[in-house]
Amino acid sequence: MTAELDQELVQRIATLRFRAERAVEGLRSGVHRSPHRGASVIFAEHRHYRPGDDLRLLDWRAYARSDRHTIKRFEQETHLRAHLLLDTSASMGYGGESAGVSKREYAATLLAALAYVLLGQGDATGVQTLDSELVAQVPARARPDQLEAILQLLAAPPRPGARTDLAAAVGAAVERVGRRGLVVLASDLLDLGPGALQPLSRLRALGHQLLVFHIIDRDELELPFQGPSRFVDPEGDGSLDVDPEALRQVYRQRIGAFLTDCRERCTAAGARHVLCPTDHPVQQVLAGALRGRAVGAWA
Amino acid sequence: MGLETPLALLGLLAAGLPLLLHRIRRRDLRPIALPTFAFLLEADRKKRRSRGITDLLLLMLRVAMLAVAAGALAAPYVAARLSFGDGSITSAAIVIDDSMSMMRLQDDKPLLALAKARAREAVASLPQGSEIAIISAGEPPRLRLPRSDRLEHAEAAIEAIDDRSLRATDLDAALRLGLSQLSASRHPSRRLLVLSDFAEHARLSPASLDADGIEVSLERIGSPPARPNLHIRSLRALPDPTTLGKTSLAIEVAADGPAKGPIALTVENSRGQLARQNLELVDGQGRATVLVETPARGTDPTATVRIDSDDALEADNSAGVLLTSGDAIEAIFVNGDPHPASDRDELHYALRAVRQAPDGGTPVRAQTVDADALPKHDLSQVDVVVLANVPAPSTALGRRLRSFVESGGGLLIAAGDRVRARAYNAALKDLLPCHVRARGQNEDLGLLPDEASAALLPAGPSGLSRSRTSGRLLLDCDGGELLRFSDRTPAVASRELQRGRVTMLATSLDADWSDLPLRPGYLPLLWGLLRHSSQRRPTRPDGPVDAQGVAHIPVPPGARSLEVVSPSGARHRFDDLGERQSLAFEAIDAPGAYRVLSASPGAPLRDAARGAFVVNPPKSESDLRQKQLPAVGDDAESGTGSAVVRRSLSPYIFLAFAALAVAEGLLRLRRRASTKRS
Repeated sequence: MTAELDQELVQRIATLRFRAERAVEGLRSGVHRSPHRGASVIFAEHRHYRPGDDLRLLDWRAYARSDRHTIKRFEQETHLRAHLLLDTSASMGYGGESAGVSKREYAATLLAALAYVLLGQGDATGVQTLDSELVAQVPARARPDQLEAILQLLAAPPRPGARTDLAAAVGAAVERVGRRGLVVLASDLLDLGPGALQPLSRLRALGHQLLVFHIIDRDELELPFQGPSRFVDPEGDGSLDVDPEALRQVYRQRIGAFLTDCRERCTAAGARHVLCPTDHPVQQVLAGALRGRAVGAWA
Repeated sequence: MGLETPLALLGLLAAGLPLLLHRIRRRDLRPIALPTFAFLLEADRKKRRSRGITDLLLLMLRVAMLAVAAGALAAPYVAARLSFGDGSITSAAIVIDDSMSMMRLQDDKPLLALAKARAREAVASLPQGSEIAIISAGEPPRLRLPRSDRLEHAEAAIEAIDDRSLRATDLDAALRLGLSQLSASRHPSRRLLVLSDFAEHARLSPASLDADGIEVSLERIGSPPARPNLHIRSLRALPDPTTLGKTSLAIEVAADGPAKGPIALTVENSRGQLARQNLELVDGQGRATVLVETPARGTDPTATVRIDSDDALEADNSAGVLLTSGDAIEAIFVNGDPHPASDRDELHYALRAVRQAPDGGTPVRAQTVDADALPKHDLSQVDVVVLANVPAPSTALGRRLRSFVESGGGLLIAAGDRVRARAYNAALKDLLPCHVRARGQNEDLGLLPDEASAALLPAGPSGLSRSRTSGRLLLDCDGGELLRFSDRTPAVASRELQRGRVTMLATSLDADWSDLPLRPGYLPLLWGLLRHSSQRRPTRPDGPVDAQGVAHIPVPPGARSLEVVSPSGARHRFDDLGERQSLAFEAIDAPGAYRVLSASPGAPLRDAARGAFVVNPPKSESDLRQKQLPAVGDDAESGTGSAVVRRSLSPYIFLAFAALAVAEGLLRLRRRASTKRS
């Protein structure tokens, strides 16, 4: 990936608008709904006045009609804090022939596009790269040069031979997440151990919006290799001499079970699981993810 | 075992080829860093169980195929010592002794079975193209398989030899048969193998073994018997003259070696055990007399005497006997002038005469009835009806007598005061052998035996010529005269009528018309008249069984069905006998007495008067002592070939290679199908 976005991609995602389904906390007015009622153009409700209420919020017209003190409430629109987490372990370096890019490049492109959308609508956006630990980060901000900083980090080369430790890495990353907002993880989830998504569950409990882009290569899905081959573990020393044709059926069953398990565990953790085969166009995947959220299809 | 081309074993190195290829292929594999390696590893572990075994089997099969191919090229062989012959193409004849002594058990197997197994082994030793003939040596010797180059037929011929035998041994004749088969054989190598126990009784003369150009091998089957053999040497049943209704059995037992202790004899038949008696043997011999009930007419006339002993040969431990003579002529005497307890009785002399069984002759079992009772009497079990001074029978009785004669019965008419010429001519016109002209009286004639009398009287002087006859019937005959008076007129005449015969005596059976009953010739004359009328010929002492083991059972007149009960209890029924006079019975399966039951239409089965017969084992076969074998070349005793031949194992190895190739192909297909399913 280069430090500049493809212009065609930029044009396509410019039309996308991300609207959080759930209310997020924000210090700035924005397009996102806030649980705090206050100054806004969108009327929410009436309620009886209680001592301590802001007198500016008294509905004088209602008082004139009913002789009762009634407070007029509005929905407050706030800015979003988005935290994008990129898995840069060695397994993400695989790129099959059908996709033409590695999983890491694909994930970086996807997150960059999302950052562009968020920053474009004034949301504070930050990026963290991780493998077995938190590698680097760009804190969430909404400054004009934030996109450039994000793209530079996403395009940074990974640490060679880095193994995945999702539990530790995500745990370290979420400690840096502040107020309620959006947390997006792009990973192949190959190290999805029993406690790997526990940090995400905690975020969900704190009211964060969670989105998991499950990056996977077509080769990993279908094992299309022909003839006896020697398969090696990119994050270990293991190797296996085998005719993949003989194992294809069992392998596919196993990978199908893995995807199902990932989806169920993400859902259990309160995250939306979006499967992202690397031969699918980034904008299509991103649009699907954002539209689905817009109509309330996730979570 | 050896190898024709040992260098070909270097080809075994090729067996390592699959392993080498496997290693090379592994080295050239392209590496693929697959992130989902863990899942691939899991899948591999899951599949490894079945696929790993298949792959290993395939590898082993391929290694084995190459090794077997190298082994086949080395041309291995085994050195085999032939059990018969020298391995060259041969014309052979195998004589198998199937006599009764070969039924002796050795290691729980009959010697005959061992001989048959040895014969099969010998046949298997012959190379293809050889000729083989199979002969069985039980008397009479039989050619089981004429000389043939179809060796596979020999197996069937050997198998067809019955495991049970009641035959004597005739090795000389069997050898002649074998040598005659080899005399015109095609191959210069000719061999004759004789398999027998070579017991003392086997007829084998050294002269039989002289055969130019034929190698004779005598092979003894079985070792000498460990126990002496007991057998019933003789068994006779005679009506006991001292006890009415009893029959005495004279039993003689002998052993072919020193037998110890008393032995038990049992007499039994279909009614159960008739008697049991212990017998002490002295010098290997013993005699016993047992009294049993004489069976009533129409009941089981047979008995089996059994030695209860665990000796060398069981087959000769029992013998059958007929408690009533099977050859006896069943005669019914019709008394036309009864005077009970008086010498004036018409049958006073005749009945006393028939009770005296002549030596070696046919006995007569006589019963008497009055003339009035004859029409009601069952004639189906009767051989001869004797009308002694009986008035002319009624028309109905005349028809019945005619039917009786036509179906094979005998009718003897003796003259007397009550025989009226005119009435007889009228009532028995179609039966009488001569026309009765009148009664002659106050004459004094003797009898004049001539050549025609030979049918009635034994050769030699009979004393009849000195008899004096005062009364007689004058007969006009057109032939058939068997005896004449001194004036050349017929005294006895006879005629055939279909299957039966009618005989007429011109004078009386008592002493009213002649002094014949007082003459010594009376007895043979009366016997001759009865035998001639019944058409009985002296039967063979060994019963109706011929040399081929087939019993020819006479069918009683009027019988429609027949049942033969063998000593083992097996029943063989024969229906729809029609007009048959005898029945060929081939199911002779055991020594002993065979019952024959017959039934006329509408009547139940009854023991036929002359049906029962006895099949006893040949006495000579009971002597199981082994004789010294005559010398025949260098291998006389063992008779076994000593040639060593090399038998190539290559065909078997190539067969194994083919089997391995097929297995490899099937396994490969299975593996491919499994891969496609994956």
